Amino acid sequence: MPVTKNPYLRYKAIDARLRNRQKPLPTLLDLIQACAKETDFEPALDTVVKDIKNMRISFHAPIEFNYTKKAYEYTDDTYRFDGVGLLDQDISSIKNAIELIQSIGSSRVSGQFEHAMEKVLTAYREKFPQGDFKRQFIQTDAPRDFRGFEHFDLFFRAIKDRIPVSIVHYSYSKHRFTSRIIHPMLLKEFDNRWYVVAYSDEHNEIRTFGFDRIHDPVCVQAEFRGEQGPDAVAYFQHIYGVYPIENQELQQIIIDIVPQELAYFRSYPIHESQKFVSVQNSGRARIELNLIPSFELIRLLRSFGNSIRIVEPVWLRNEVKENYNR
Amino acid sequence: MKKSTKSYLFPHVPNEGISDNPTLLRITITPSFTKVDFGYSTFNSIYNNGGWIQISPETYMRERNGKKVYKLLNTNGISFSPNKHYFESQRDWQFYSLYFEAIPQEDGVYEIIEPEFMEDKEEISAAHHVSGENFDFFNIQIDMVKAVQI
Repeated sequence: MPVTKNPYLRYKAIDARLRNRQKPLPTLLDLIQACAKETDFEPALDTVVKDIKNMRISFHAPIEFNYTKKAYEYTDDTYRFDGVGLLDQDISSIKNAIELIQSIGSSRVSGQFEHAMEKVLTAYREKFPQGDFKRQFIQTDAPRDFRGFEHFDLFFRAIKDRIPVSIVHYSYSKHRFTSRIIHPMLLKEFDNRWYVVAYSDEHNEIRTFGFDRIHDPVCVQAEFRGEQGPDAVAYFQHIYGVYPIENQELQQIIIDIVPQELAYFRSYPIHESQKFVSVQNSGRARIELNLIPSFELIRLLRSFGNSIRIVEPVWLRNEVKENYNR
Repeated sequence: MKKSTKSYLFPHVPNEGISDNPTLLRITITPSFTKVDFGYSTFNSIYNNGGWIQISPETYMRERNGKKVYKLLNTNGISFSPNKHYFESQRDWQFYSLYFEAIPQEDGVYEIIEPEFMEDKEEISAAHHVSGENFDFFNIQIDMVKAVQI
């Protein structure tokens, strides 16, 4: 958020000006000037009037207009705009958490959260201007501004409040648009992409829809049918990724891996069901997975190339080979 | 009669288009406008780059067998002719909406007609000129039983 649009900086400026004992009883113009000095941008008169109203409502600020002197004042000298009683230890923990969120990027979660975090960060910068803000010490892999991420807040609310949503969906594989009513149950991130898991009226089962393929979601007033399918979290328990292959059941998958890959499979198991069946002295190993095969699993296995060999099931071995050679 | 303040969305609207591309996807009827959503895919386009789309500002919605005409007020995702929305490839797509004057919140059958117009002395008909197909949609059935309130 640009500093000129950040209301918290203005609230701080208004608070400081009202508290200035050298120049008591500021007029509205005095408050505008105080905000302008703080943000290098002169806010509109309406903006500052709204700010005062917000400070009264949201922060219980005892700001009154003195009609005799035509100026504003605090009616309670003990009021503190940022008067939250925190111990040094609390402040230290919060500082660490804020700097961590700053590094990860609050926009990774949602627009609303980013807005909320911006408020906290502004207050924090005010309080601790020496904070380590410019130095990035964590780099994540989340791309910004990918298609459909703007739907996050709507689907989050729909899941929380159990509201069906009308969507237009574009299938990349079928090159076709469809209009559907879905009953969102879970938001899922996989491989830096966001999906909504929902009960689909059209399919009468749980389906997963990529945010990037959804256009113009609209909340509708209809009976929520999200509870009709299985639990969404349990649904993904046996799936690597988001799109299970149709008509495939939970099954055992056995894979041989070359010694050079052993350390990677030990460090980063593909799935929580992964077990080492055998490890030879050379480092050659055999692992077992219990999964419902998915398109993402096939893509992952293909990425290992000749470093792995799928022992079972045969159909999966052929499928991976077919894709690999495509 | 008291005017309705409610808005209704029709997730599926039976209709007869000249082709299934573009597809009429949804209709939303509000007290102040009617929003009709379409999807167009350049898959199988005769143009290597997928071509382009546009819509005539003279496009209208009308009651079948009726005289009442509802003018096109605005669009989203598609340009008014002579401007064009250009595609990049034969694997491109576009979701767009046409906003017409408000139709009554009751059962009815409608048509959406884009009049033919001239451009550079070459007659071109329809929004999806790339394929030379007509944009018109007929027998659009508004059945209030199938509506959901928004």
